[in-house]
Formats: sequence, structure tokens, C-alpha cells
Amino acid sequence: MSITVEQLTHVYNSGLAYETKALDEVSFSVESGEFVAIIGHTGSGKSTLIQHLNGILKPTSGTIRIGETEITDKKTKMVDVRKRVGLVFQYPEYQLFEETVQEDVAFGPKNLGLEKDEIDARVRRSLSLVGLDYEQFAQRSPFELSGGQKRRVAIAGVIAMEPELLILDEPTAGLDPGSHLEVLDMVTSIRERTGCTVILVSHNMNDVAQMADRIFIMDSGRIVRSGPPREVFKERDYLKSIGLGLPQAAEVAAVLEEAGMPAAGVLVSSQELVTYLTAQLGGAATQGEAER
Amino acid sequence: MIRDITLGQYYPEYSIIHKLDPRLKIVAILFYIASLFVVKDFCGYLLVMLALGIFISLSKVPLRFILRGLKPIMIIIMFTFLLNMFMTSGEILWQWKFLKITQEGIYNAVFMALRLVFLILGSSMLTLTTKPIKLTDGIESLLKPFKKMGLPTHELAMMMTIALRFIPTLLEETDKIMKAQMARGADFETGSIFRRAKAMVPILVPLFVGAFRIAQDLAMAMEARCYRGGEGRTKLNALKFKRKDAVAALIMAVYFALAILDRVFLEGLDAVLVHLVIK
Amino acid sequence: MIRIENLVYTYRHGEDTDVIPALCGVSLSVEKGSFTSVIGRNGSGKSTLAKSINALVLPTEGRVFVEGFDTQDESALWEVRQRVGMVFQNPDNQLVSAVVEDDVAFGPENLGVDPDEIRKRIRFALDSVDMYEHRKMAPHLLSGGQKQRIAIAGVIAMRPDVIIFDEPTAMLDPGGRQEVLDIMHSLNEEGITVVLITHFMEETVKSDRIIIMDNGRIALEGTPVEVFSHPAEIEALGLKLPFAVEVAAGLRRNGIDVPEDILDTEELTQYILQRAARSEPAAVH
Repeated sequence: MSITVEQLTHVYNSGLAYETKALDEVSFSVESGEFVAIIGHTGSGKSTLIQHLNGILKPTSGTIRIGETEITDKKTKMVDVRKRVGLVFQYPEYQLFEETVQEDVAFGPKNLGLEKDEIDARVRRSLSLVGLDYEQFAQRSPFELSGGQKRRVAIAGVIAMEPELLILDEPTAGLDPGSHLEVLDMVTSIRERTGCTVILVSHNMNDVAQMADRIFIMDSGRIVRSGPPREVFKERDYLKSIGLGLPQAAEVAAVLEEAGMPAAGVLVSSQELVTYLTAQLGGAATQGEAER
Repeated sequence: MIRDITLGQYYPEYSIIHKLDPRLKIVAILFYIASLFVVKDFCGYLLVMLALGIFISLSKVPLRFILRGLKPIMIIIMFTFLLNMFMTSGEILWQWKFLKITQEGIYNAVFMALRLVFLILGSSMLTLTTKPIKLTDGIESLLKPFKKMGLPTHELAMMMTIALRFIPTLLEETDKIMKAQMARGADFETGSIFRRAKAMVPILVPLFVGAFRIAQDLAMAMEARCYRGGEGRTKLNALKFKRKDAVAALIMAVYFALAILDRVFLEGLDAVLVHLVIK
Repeated sequence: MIRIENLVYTYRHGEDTDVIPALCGVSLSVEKGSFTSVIGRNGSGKSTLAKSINALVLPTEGRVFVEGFDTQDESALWEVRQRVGMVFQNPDNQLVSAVVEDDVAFGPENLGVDPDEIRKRIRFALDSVDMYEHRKMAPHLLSGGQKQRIAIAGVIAMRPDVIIFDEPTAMLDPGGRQEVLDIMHSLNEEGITVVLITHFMEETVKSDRIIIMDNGRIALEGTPVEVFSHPAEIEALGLKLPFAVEVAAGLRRNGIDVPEDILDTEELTQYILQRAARSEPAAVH
């Protein structure tokens, strides 16, 4: 489902001495099925932006169109927006409240007013999408699960609304490296299996460089750059000036280039860096490395 | 919306009011509240307004910031206003079926609503100009005489310090949870009262769980920093009653005396004024 | 400094559940002035281990000694806690007071330190985390990194010998994370023993020693070079190699003999530049 945002502005504490423009005439569009990542330092307007996309925050001015629906139109029912746009907040496990996993995941579909059979089917589907076994988990209390499992249940609770656009705000915050990878893989597989459009907010440049089709860079309430990872990460100095870094591979390559080594282009993974360095240092790329 | 609540917040500023002894400020606010019930006419309110105005301007807290604290309780003020307007019997000015507005009703409505406004503004000034920790030090110190009677004054004070410290944190938490449940299609705004009350469950459960988590974390952090109750504890800022506090106390006494004088001598004046204005 | 002997810790989750072991026989010692990192997946017992060092958690079996004081000896409890400061994960939930300097004063107040001395300590502690100018602020108005720095100052003001950081950067953005990491290292340089528990592998490369926990046991320990030379084990333990180590390993597989002691990207780039300079004439042909 495509998204078109035009001239979106949001002002907090309007009229007060410390009023702040959290969003300043933001315009962009996202194609159906696209994977977009939003990066920017804390306070750049990322959370304010994503909260507009499912109507939780109302813009001071500007319009947002999700598919054919203009959600900034006062006549649009919010339930219609919420069922099409799923928003997973940071540390989503802190919203769990029901006695069983089954009931908690069913909360969203119930709010949509679905039939019981449909709700049940959706709970099963979404638990399977987040990689939890229905038989094993459905009747357990969400509060006695491990941290990583809780997070999966919480994400399932949003996916059960079967959104066409899924927005995730730092879904891997606080996880260990293994679970971090698992959650990212899970996002990829949800996208493949449901075909939904994904917007990922993240601080991790390595992740977004490898996963996203396009990256939006935010600073002071504006989208200051947007494009494919290999485009936006070309501007190392500019990114540094707004407090952002490059993916580690790109950073190493950029430092080497500055010191006189041949340009590598923007590298997004350790494998690419290995391949580049192997060529530079005259080693032989093994078959295994090429496949990795 | 939830961040609008200024009651209980501290506004950092370097003003004479901020520097006054918290014990004095607590007592002064109590007298101020009492004065609101002592004065019975608008002349008295002029006095209250003057005192409050001077107090606020000396405190250097922006008026807008203070007024914002009224927003969350606007409903209560409106309710008080309407209740008084329609429920007071007296000289009828306007009537429609069983609804009637009387001259006394308008008078009472304005009077009561103003009293509420003054009450909120005054008491929020206490927390706005006093560091929570000083406030609790003040309370602890004022309650000291009761310690011998077995009142756990230090513990009470510590509880208050923590409560005040965590009000913003919990409000933020509530805001986050509300938004997250709204994202799952929860509806807090429509439906019968019963439905709306039920709709609070998805907020309250995570909020309580969160509060317990915070409490656990905090207790552990306090223990790790050697907290062991009030015994043998020193204080960074021990309270000292200074000259400016004495001066402030004197001014407060004069104010309260004026309020009493107003009550005694000018009681009937308002009725006359109102009569003149309306006729 | 710290000596842990065969530490076992078990707990019950609710009344009728089985006993859950969090730590099953951990022995280690931490030297004065060292920087030790403890890593391991969620639930591996690293946090319980940390809490047992300043007697927030008491051993079910075994012993924990801090400068010779046994953490189980109740009369030595405050000796232990004063010596071992602790910084926790959530920056919001460990600040007690609504004003920065009062929060920093909290520890010394508990120790019964004289107010004039407390004032000196606040100055020193806030200076060392570069937050003195924010001393009158309310913590909830600060950024996550700044709050965490205040928490560190609150610990410094107690003049501890050891500071245990329990995932201090988990909830911070990259900027805040770097701030806290820099402070940890500068404190270590000033002689404070640091124990860092973290999920971020890059944060551990400059430590003297790394301990990897798994299932309540020490799974792997040694210098960063030693530990990271076991990539397969590390992955099996739910962890990841630091980026530079991963790249170096990849290069080694391709027949480039990168030295084992390359741990961060700076060392990596330096090595590559040196090597490229050496082979420059060859590359011309």
C-alpha cells in the first residue's frame, strides 16, 4: 500500500514560549511493498512522524494519504486507519496486559470487530509469523515469558490486525546479538509472507544499510536526505555534521579512501568489505566467501 | 495532553521565592488557602489577586506556564460554575422550563469558580517554586514534633520525594501505553461509561506492571547506594530560617490580617455593588 | 579486589514452581584497576552475577569477597556497598531525586558524609562526567545519555573502588552510548576497577578481560584476543564477533594473514594501510 505525505507539519506546545516544530513541512511517498528505514538522532522527529502515519498524532497542517484513504481527513474513521497501518512501538512488551498470549494477540482484531473464527485464525497466523508455536504458547501468561518471547508476542499483537503497512520503532532495542538477528530475520520473513510495506526506525546503520530499499534521514523535523542506502551513505561529512555515522564497512572503506586507497563505493556489510580488501591486498577470495 | 499537568512540577529559577525556607512556604500556602475561605466578597478577591500576582511575579515563573496547569481541571471548574449558576435560588433573571439563572447564581458561580482557580494557582505555586526535595525536607521538619509519637517522618518524606520524582516518568509511561493500545485499535473516547471504564484495563494493567518494575529497579538502585533509612543520614541542604524568611512571614501575617479585616468589615459591600451593576 | 568462589544462586518464581538456577558454580577474581567485560545472551546470569558483587543478591552457595569483606557478613554490608558502586540499565529508574545535584548527593547523604564534603564531591563527580552545568536541572528533561551520566556521578560521589555497569548503554542512542563508554574508560584510567555488562560486542574490545556467561556458568574467558579467536563458540552462545574481528577473520580465510590482535576498526584500517604501503610497488606492476 502506497503512502503519500505532503507538507506535514507538527508543532508541540503551540503558542507557548518553548513551542517546537517537531515536523517541518515533511513530504515523501513510499511505494507499495517497499522497505523504508528512517534514521536520525534522538529528537529529530522520527517518532513524531511515524505516530502521524496511523493517526495517533494529528498534524498541525499537511496531508497523509495511505492507499486511497486520506487519513488526515476528519471524516476518516480511525479504525479504518489502524487496521491498515500497524505500529510497533519501542519496547512493545510493556503493553502486554491480558492473561493469556491468545487473548493479548486477539485484542487488536477484537477492536476491529471481527468474527470469533476470524480472530482465532488471525491469532494463529500471527503467532506463526513471529515464530511462536501456537499450541505451546497460546494459553500461557505473557508475563512469564522470556524477554525475547514477550517482544514477539507484542509484535504478533500488531500483525494480527493484518496491516498493509507495518511500522517498527527500534524493534531490537535491548536485545542480545542473537535475538537481535532473529528479530530482524522475523521482520524480513513477515514482509515476504504478507507482502506488507515496512517502515523501520533504527539507530543501527549496519542493519538499515543491509535491509532497506530506501533510507530517509531526518534532522530537525525534516527529511534531509532520502534514497537507496548506497546513495545516502555517500555523504559521510554531511551525516557526521548531523550526528550520524556510516555503516561500519562503509566507514572503514571511507577512511581507507581518504588515506589514498582506491575508492570502494559504499560498502554495507562485512562481506563486502572483506571482498574489497582481499582484492586490494592481493589475497584470493575463496569460494566459500563469495557465497556468504 | 497528559504533559500539560503542571501541578507537582518544579520550575527551576533563581528568585527570592525559590530561596525562601520551604517550611515557611508550606505554612504560608496553608494560610493562603485558609484566606480563600475567609474572604467572602470580591473585594477580598482583589486582595487575594494582588497577593498572588506579587507572589507570581516575584517567583519569575512565566504566567503562561502556571495557567497551563488549569487546563486539566477546566472541567471541574466549569462544572462548579454551572452547578452554582443553576442551583442557587434567588432573584430570577432568566428561566427555561426547570432551568433558571438567578442573580445570586451568577454571583456564586463566578465566586466559586474563582476560588477554585485561586486554590489551584496558589498551591501549584508551592511546588513550582520549591524543589521537591526541599518540600519534603520542609514537611519532614514540620512533622518532627510527631516523630516522638511514632510517626515515620523520614519515610513519609522519602515516599513523597520519590512520588514527585516519578510523576513525570509515570505520565510519560501512561502516554506511551495509551498510544500503543490506540495503535491496536483501542478506543477510549466513545461508548457508555461502563465501556469506557472497561477500555481502561489495557492501560491500567501495563501501567501497574510498569510501576512495579520501576519500583523494583529503584529500590535496588537505592540499596546499591547504601540507603538504609533516616538513621545516620546527613543532608546536603539543611534548612535554615533566614532573615528574608522572617520578612516573608511578616508579610504573610499582614496579608492574612487584611483578609480577616475584609471579612469583618466589608462583608456586605459586594451585594450592594452587584445590585448597582445589574440594576 | 573481588574474589568469587563457586557462586551458586537459585531462586523460585512463585510458590509452587521448581527452583531455577541463575548461577551454578561461578569462580573468578577481578584485579584492582582492571576493566572486565561480562557478556552473554539474555538470561545467562550475567546480571545476577553483577548484583551479587555488591550484595544486592546473596549467594545460595559459595562466597563473594570484596577487598576481603564477605558479602554475606551483614556487619560488612555497607563497607561492601560503599566500595562497589552500581549503574543500572534504565536511566529513568535509578535517579531518586527530581534535581540533579540532590540525586548525586543521595549516596553520600546515606553514608553520613558532612554537607561541605558532599558539596565538594558533587562538584568532583559532576565534573568527571561533564555535567556540572546541569546540576540544577530536573532529570526527566535530560537525554538518556545525560541521565546515565548523572547516575554515574551519583556513584562516583560515594568514592567507590569498583563500579559495576549493568548494561548501561542498552537503552541509549549511539551518541549517548559513546558518551557513557568514554566515561567508563576514563574512570578506569583514573584507577577505578570497572566491570561492564553489555550486549554490544564493540564495547568490550578495549577491556583487559572478557567473561562470557551462558546458562549460569562461565563459558569462555580471557583477553579480548583470546576470546574472539573462538568465532564458532561465540556464535553458538548467541553472540557476535566485533565488526573488525569479523572482517579480519574473513581476510584470513582469503589467505591474508591479518594479525590476531586486531579488535577494532581503527586497528584494522591502520594495519591495512601499512600493508598496502608495503605492497604498493607490487601493485603497480
